[in-house]
Amino acid sequence: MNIEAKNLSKWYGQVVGVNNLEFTIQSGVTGFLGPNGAGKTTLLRLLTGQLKPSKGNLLINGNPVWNNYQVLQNVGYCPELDNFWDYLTGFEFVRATLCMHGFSLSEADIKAEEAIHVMNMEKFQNKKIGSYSKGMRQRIKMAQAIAHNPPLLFLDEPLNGMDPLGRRSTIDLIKEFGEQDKTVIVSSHVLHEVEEMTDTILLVNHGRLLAEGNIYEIRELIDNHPLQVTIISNKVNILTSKLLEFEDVKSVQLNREENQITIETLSPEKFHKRLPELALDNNIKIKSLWSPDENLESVFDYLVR
Amino acid sequence: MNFLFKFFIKNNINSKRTIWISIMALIPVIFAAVILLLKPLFSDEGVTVSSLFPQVSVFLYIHFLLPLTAIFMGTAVIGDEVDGRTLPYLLTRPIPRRTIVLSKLISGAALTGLIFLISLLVTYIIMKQENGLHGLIQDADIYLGTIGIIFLGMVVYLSLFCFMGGLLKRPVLIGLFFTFGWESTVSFLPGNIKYFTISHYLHILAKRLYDSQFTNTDPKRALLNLLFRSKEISSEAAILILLAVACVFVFLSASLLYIKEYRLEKS
Repeated sequence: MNIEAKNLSKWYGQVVGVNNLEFTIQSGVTGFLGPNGAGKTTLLRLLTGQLKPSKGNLLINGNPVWNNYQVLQNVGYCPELDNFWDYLTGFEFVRATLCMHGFSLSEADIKAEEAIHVMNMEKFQNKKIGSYSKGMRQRIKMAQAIAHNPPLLFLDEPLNGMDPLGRRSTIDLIKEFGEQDKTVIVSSHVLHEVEEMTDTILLVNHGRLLAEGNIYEIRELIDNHPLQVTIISNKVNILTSKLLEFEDVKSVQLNREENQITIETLSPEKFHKRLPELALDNNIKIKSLWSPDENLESVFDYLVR
Repeated sequence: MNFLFKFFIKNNINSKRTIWISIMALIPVIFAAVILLLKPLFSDEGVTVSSLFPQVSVFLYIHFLLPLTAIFMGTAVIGDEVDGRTLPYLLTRPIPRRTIVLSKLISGAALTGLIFLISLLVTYIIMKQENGLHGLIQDADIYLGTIGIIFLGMVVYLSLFCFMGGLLKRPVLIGLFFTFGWESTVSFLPGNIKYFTISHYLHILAKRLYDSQFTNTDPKRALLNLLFRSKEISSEAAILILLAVACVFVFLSASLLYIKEYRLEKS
């Protein structure tokens, strides 16, 4: 299955959803990576025919998606929205979505059971979705997306709210789909999650495509981004002077009133290794340490600059 | 279509709206029971409980309950899935969008029709019981005719409010204004403006059905019609107009899903 975006834009009045996107996606797993509000969900809604492109084309195997319900025969979609017909049980929900795909009730029963088994939800399949936890709701959403064995899977933040075990098994499942030659698109704002599923990503921010291709190349860009670390200590003056001796420390900002310093380092690993030693040698107490920009947003800001 | 129809019937049964509609459908039943209890108070004046059935049908069912329930049911056809944010599960299936609208409309009409069928039957039995079983069977055409008018009205109002529900932000409010503001006001005005209401055509059908029992009860309106020479159309024409209005709004509602995008945000 081949997905092609040509000059694709979507505006909501004055607000830009996605802007002038050009990409081609082949089979395998592709990650849509970007911070919240980057345009990932808009892109997935365009891909599933829920939204009409304001400009340009979006084609699946050469066919436009908007108002073309036949294309959806091959699509499985796990929406980001956490809403259901809550009175249905998990099994009834998956079965209903299968029947909407044209399966008979008996076929739907078998396929629903299989999908629920894959998502490890057998124990809860006869409970009402209204009583499900966030993680269970996420898994049943995944079950309805994969139940009809579609060659195209669009998964919007599928790991949201899942427990570590659920995350692990879902990541493995997504990788398995990729190996089966299905075209899987996964959106996420968490870099390491996407890294575990695929090495092909589309990096989006503010509706624009920032980078496309191998995740390791993008990783390199990210590694060049200096990491900020904030430390609260009892001896900020001594700590500041000692830290300035480190080659990889680009800058140090001192806030005496709050006994706080913020440094920028080009080698976070080295920095974190040397800091405890420095503290011990100089009898410095580190009360608190955190990185204010250890998230994708700052990386995007850096890439955009 | 068959699956979707059953699915939406189940959906409707599980909604609070259906419970409220069922409770509202009890109003005429309770009203009929009260009339029956108060019968000794007006029996001397020659008025029978049975003779009040047309008034109860027209004012309580056709002019009040029918549009009111249709507002809540009709605006929910698309509105429910938008408010509940379940629309993506429907729109991302290989189903024509018109099928979704039609299935929801038909299931809504079927369920409300069933509630009215039962409610009207009980009201009919209570009000006509003084004539005995023979009388009940003899006047069955009145019951069937009334339920026919209610069902036709339901289809028309539902399709109109379904369109409003998909198009407008406050469809219930506008629906209430249309029914109890516009329709109620205009129906009392002389001249031809009442032809722009649904209730007028339903009123024509009801008048013809109850014939002598009903037309004579409204001398003021007869006088106004005479003064302003407002012509009344035939029952067949009224049915055709109502069906045409229903078709137009079903078409518009279905088209709306093809044209309009629904941008659903996280709740």
